[in-house]
Amino acid sequence: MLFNSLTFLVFFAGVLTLHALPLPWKVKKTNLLIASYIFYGAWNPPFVVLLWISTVLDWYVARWLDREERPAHRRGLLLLSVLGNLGILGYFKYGEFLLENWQAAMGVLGIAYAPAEWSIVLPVGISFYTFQTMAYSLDVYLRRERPTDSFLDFALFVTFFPQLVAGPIVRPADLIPQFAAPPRVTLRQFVWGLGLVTLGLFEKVVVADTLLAPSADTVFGAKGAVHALDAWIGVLAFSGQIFSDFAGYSTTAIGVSLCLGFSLMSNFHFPYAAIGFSDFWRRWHISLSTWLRDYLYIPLGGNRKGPGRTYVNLMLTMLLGGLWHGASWTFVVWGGLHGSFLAVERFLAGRFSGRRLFGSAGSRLALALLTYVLVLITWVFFRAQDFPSAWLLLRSMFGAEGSGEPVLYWNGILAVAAVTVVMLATHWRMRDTTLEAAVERTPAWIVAAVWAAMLFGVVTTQGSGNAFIYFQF
Amino acid sequence: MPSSISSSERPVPDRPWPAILVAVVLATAALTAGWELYWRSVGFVARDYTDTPGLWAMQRRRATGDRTLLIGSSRTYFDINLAAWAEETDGRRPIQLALVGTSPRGILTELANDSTVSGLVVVGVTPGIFFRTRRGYLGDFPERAAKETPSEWLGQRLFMRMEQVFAYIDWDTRLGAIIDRQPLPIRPGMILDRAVRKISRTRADRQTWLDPRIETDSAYRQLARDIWMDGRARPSPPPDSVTAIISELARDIARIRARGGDVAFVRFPSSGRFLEAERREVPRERYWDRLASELDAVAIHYADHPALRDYDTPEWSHLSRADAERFTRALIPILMDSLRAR
Repeated sequence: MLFNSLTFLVFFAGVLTLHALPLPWKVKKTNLLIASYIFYGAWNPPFVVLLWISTVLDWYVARWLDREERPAHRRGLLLLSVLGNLGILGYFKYGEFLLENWQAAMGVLGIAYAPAEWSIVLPVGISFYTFQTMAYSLDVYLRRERPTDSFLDFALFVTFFPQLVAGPIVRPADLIPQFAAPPRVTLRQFVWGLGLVTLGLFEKVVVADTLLAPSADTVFGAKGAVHALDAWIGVLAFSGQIFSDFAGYSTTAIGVSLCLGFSLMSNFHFPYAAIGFSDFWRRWHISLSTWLRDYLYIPLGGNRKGPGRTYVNLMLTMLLGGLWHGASWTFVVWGGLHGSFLAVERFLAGRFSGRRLFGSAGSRLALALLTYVLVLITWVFFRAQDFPSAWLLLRSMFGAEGSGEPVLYWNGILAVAAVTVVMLATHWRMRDTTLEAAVERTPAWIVAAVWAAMLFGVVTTQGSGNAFIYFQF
Repeated sequence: MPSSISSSERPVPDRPWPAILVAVVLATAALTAGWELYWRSVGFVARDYTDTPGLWAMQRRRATGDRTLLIGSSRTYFDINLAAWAEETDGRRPIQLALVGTSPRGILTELANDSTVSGLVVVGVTPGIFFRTRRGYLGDFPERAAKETPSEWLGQRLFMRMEQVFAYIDWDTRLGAIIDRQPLPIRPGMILDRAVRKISRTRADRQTWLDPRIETDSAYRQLARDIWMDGRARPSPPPDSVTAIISELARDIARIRARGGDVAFVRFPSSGRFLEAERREVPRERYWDRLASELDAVAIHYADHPALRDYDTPEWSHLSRADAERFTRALIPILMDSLRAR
């Protein structure tokens, strides 16, 4: 179910009530597990079976891995976990993509291959929980962690509903220990959790869905070249939409967890104030970027095998990171662009290290704006339906398509411009601090007024039930 | 663990949270009450339901057996009084499946393919929509209704509970709609294309009628008319091939008849500049008349029957609430006689 739905409101009230009852901790955890299956099954009940498969597979593989000492057997067990998890992910998410590319490759060879139509429904959030459960087996294989003795705790780790379908992708060592003993939920923690839920829903319902999505959809859905102003506004709108949508989900998930007494990691840290791309990836979808770093980039050798191999590892990690987002070559190009920017930045940092060229506030701001503009370029490939559409929009942005058609009214343009200015100013002002620190410095009446305004915005906007963008990944 | 991220207990800012929570609840309640009172003061009422895929799905699930089904666009939706229909027929209300701005052709095919449907299907024909597309504005409703998740099923019922209490819950009061209708200058190269304002009220069974404000507020009525004309200025796709449409309809009719049902077509009244535009864009003789003559089915055009003419269409496209009931009572005998005569 969606966070921004009345169904979730009722569901969450029920979960909180059960959680507050004086029941044994094991019963409360079982309640949370059942609630998580209901949360997931509310979309498509049969797909709960996939969660069970992942849970059982990694539970047994990890226990066996822990006991097993023979390297070949350990590798075989890890392979079983990886193939099992990636097999499910591959079948549901990449099956059609692979088939299409196979068909195209056959066509190049002059072989007319016409496969049956692929009509598999993508289980929501499959990329998130697959990575989360795989991390468990990988940690045990790498002897970073011992497996837990509690199947209930492990099943709850795989399924924990606040972050099940769109992250943050939680590490076993960060969440499983929290299930060992009943958390102490203070009133302060509970109310702050509700505040985060309101902030997250405001970002999603008001900013992403209401103020930005219509302009982004219009521009990215245009059939031909659009006016340069429209092209830029459309891309700006999408940059704000995807941040507000995804960060909104993460913030809501963190708030919901906090109300239950659990702590989830932050997933975003004002990314549009990033100075350079390595800074950007320390601020954007942090749980994925650190997952890729720890389970892909470092095992590939990271930066320990020489400069050339470092660049290869970097690019490979980002290409796969792009593919993680969706079964399309446009996502691969998106990842490739980020990989290229990271590589260039690494090269330049090596050449110009120690120079004070970019030490002033003005130059830092200029670099942050340059980073943002380059990020905007990458979003074109992320959002466009295909390469021709992406190229057309890029050409429109830079005036290469002549005057182009205006497709946005001033109402939408002004809304996007206002949100973008406020968003960038906020990110810049907050780049070296945290939300918690900022709230602590703010007078209580202002905190209450802003919170009430956001809640009123959510209530009156009513929501349209749009799914979060990242659910599809 | 190699991760540099620690998710140890999250910090909670040191603020007087209980007092803040009380203030937030009170302020939000006051703001929401004010918002509700404002929208009630301009004519919005509670128990006026938003047409959603979930609301449509509730009716679609009832559409089985020999029940009479109504499909079409907004005129079928606004211009039929379900209670009057029941009183004039066998006491059972027809099931309202019409969708505003949407062609019924796709839905007719879906009903034809549903082996449980064996009753009369009344198809409203709004020429500018019917002959142009099989889908239209809400063309995704049937698919979304068919794929309704358990969460959406429950959400629809909870949403309706809210609508029973709050008048402000309406697509016309949403922030996005309010922003979109602010009168800013039009950019060169663009045309004025305002979204349709609220012109109807809907009950839980999808009984819908023209909003009284259209009848009583002349400025609002004129705005509704002007917005219809905005739509006429917008480039529309050319009509589909009539021959192909007739072939598609004949196939669907045959399937429904094979199960003991039947299909009838009705052209509801329109007037003023809207009617002029329809005559110009989708001339009766090239479209409706061919459908009526080439299809072996009942086809009733309001202009052909004195009892169906001269009703009040305040904003040129839909009947007033009172006239929708009178029109329904006048339509039934003509429809039933035609079906018996076929």
